[in-house]
Amino acid sequence: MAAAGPSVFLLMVNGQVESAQFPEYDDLYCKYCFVYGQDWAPTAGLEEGISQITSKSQDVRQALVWNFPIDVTFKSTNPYGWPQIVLSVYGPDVFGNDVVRGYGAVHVPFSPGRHKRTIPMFVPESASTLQKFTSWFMGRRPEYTDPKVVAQGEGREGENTETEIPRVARLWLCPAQLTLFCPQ
Amino acid sequence: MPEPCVVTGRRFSQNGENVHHTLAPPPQAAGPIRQGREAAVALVTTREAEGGRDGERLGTSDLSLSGRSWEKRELGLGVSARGERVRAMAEAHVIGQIVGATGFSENSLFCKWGVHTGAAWKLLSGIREGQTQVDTPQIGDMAYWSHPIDLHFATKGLQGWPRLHLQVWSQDSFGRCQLAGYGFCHVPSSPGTHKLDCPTWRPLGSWREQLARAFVGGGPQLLHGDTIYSGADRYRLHTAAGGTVHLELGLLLRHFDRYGVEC
Repeated sequence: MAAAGPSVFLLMVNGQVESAQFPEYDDLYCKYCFVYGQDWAPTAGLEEGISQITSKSQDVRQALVWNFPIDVTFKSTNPYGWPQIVLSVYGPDVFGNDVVRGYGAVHVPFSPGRHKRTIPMFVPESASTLQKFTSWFMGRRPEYTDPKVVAQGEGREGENTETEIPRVARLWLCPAQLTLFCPQ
Repeated sequence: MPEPCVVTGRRFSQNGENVHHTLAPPPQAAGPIRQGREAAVALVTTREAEGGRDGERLGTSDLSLSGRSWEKRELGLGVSARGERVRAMAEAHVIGQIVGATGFSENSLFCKWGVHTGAAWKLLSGIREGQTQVDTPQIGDMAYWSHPIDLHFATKGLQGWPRLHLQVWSQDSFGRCQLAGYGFCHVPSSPGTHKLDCPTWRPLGSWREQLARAFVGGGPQLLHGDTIYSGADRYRLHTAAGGTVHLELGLLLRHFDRYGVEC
């Protein structure tokens, strides 16, 4: 029955991936994507993106700035499966190969307004010392085949990760219609 | 007749399958059946199977268990088949992350977490317990897990408000696991985003066990996990402090105001 539909609400996310702090690494780019439940669907904007490659500034800040815009609107009937933004950062290693420098995920904020989020990044760890050496030498670090795994809770037992220093991603959230449920 | 809002989530896909339909289908009846209400009705009919508590029942107790009473007990708003206004169960969404932990003496940490609720609460969607990955911080001493938590509860009473209980373990290079701390915290009761710091403790044991733990590892653990979140038998324990687990939880509530609960 099309008329007896559940109430739909919209969630509009405007923001940017601002900058990062990675003391040891340089020339980094980041990718973002959204992970959401089955009741959610993007209606406008891009749900994935790749940023430019940025280098550390020459001044004392040593900042890695992307200023990479995020503009997406979701519609849903249920807060379960609230969208998460998954960020993956990549950079070149000594030999020039592109390796992953960190994965991180955070939920989109619930309340309208301006929010700033600092997301810690982690990388999967090699299983043994020998594998660590060969992956360093060959440029094939352990990475996730699908970065969306980072946003899921199941199946994380048995994973070993290393965390890097937290990086900064500033998100603004403006609700187009944040009437979550229609009261009657 | 105003169309009710269905509480349970529906997919935008073309098939009519209801994602929350994890309970038994309702009994068939000759009365008018609204499409897509199966899960809603099934949710309320399971109330008969549970022992309800008399203390804080949220207003569904006035509906009698007659033959076609399930028609009245629709989990939605608006008007039932008999033209009477019915009430919906209160719902709560807990959405957030276990961010990480600080202050532990060990380095590679992981966390086993679970949510305990009273008898009046029903988990509609989400996973009630889980385990994070093992994290080794390279810079600083905070282990970051960023483990997502997404739970959808329906409830008939305030008793047994959800509590998150945690066990932090450390793993050494040989793969052996050692307990680092137990902790629990209540899910906040006001809607919005909250940053929580959950302190942890670990049982000490006798001086022999402490010596053995220092040299060999291991150490005493709780036999029954419910001591973590209940205060019943705590007086028997002698414990030492562990580190702190940091969480960010957001809470969304619905229909609590119908039952006179202000939040």
